[in-house]
Amino acid sequence: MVIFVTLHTVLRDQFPEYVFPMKVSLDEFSTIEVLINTMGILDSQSLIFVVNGINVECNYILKNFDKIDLIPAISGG
Amino acid sequence: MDNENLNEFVLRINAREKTGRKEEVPEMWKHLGGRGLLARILLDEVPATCDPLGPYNKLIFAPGLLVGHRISSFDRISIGAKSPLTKGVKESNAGGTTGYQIVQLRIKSLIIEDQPLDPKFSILYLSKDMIRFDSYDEIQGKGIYESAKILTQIYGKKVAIALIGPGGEMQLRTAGICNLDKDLVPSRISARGGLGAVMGSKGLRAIIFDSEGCPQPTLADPETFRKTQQHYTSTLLAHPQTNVYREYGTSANVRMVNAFGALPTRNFSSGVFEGVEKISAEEMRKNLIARGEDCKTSHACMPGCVILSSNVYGDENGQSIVSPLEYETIGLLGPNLGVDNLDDIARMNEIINDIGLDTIDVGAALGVAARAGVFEFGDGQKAIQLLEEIRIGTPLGRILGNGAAITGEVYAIQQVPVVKGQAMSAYDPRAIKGTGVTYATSPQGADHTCGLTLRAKIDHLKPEGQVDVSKTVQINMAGYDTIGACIFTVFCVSTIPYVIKDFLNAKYGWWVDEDILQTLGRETLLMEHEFNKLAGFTKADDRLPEYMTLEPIAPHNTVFDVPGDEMDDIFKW
Repeated sequence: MVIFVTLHTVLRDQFPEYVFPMKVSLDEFSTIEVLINTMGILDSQSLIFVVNGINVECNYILKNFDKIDLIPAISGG
Repeated sequence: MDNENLNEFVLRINAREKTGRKEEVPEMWKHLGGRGLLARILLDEVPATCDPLGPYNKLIFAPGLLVGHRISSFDRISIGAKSPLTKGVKESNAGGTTGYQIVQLRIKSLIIEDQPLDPKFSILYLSKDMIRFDSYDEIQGKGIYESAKILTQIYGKKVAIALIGPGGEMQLRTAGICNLDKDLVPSRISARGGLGAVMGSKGLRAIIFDSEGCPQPTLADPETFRKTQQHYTSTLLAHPQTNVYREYGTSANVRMVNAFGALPTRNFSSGVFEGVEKISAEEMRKNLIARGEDCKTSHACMPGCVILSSNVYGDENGQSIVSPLEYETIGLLGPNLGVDNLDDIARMNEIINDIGLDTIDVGAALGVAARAGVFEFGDGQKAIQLLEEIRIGTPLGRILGNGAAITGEVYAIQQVPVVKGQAMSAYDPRAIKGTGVTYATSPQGADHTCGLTLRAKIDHLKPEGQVDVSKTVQINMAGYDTIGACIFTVFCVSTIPYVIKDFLNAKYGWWVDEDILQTLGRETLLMEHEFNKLAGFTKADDRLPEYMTLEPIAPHNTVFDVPGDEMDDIFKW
């Protein structure tokens, strides 16, 4: 299946050559955890996961054409 | 609870007689600071039904319990009064240097009472041995930035200054009180709730805090305090979120909140903005690095801060326009007005600061004005012209400067994003419903700093569980505001929560437990709620605007549907 991934802030620094959203191919029924490992993202502890505008946990099972935002947590302003 | 070793006192200033006197700290006030102490003093001394701009209201400064020791991000000053905007309890805290200096002066609380018969403004000068009212002629008619420069030339560069601008002089309900940052820029604003108007009503244009000659406050257990400080600072520095704040600042929220479908767009009529990339943190950072010169992607607002989440935003030539440019301001002056140009947003920010107003409420007022057809969404230049009308006090300028609620009433607009008369921050509550509960129920009015739920492990679109999430965060935030901690320390402190008790016990010689933060938070919220009740607030004041329960917001097409009776029980524990 194909999903569309958008990385935020410091995560983009790990993938400077990419344009977002980036298209990623994964096996069916892959979770966000699998996506993170596939991409080689080192620190996933303080990430927020948003799929199609809804926040989810890292065990969320992705579906074809899902749009996922991987966001280093931040708040306030 | 013994804090005698600090020799703290209450300083009362009578604005009518132009006199001051020191008093002992009452027993019931000793365990409180910051927001909690403000609530206590308001309940004890201010008639809740008084005119907020009249003689019975009091303007109160209170540093948090842990202010004054250069703990990173813990030196915040809380300023409060009965709010002319919400007509209820109000605390608004800021960074900068005022909190640190007021503690060096041993002032537990500065209480400004009554108001002058003479309409002429003055400057209040406070030092170790002196209380003096000075002429304000040198800064008459000048904006915040020029006033601060002149005042630091007169009083020196080591003082802290809290000042109001032309907006406070006009007693506009969005006027704030501006504090100097570590670079002497008056950019740290107790912005919310019209406290600048209260200071204007007391006839004060600026307060100078000069702690020259004051020794450092003593600590009950200096060794434990220093060890705790070391542990806290190293944990803060190692936390991955510190890096995000330092590299991208709070503007990192722009794309995150847009991803949640909660970015207020065109007067909160949509949760997604087509121009989001142009105003994103990533774009800002790229521009600031390319422009160089004055531009800084990270910057400290107060000495000793290691997070450095602030910035200096410069123009195409790298010349500073404003510092800092923060998420809430970007949200309310950018997408909320349909503006996708960061330079225009920065210029609006600079003008609003210079008049001494709250960017959130003025941004929301402009959004309502655009909805009413006063100008076209997306026309940043026209928005800038309107801000200049506020500065010179035209009738339209005064309407906008009195905030979104007044603007909505004048133009008969139903879609006004306010609670208790105060504008919402840059999170649409229909897409982040826990924050909607906070907006509705916080005694402070709509304010994200009272309980932002963005990071809660909950489906933000469903009504279930939002009251509990909001309650927990509101209690914690009221606690943090009482000890003087910045909202940006929360992510670190939540991993080592025992440091709060360790700091407090080492400073005061107390024996408090780890739940002290929540204990202080609960006490604070109950006092605030009580003050509002005495001021005449009812359940009807603890609701979002009706249109948000009826008009769905894109992209999720949801309305705010957390039941009112659930929200009514939020402070029953």
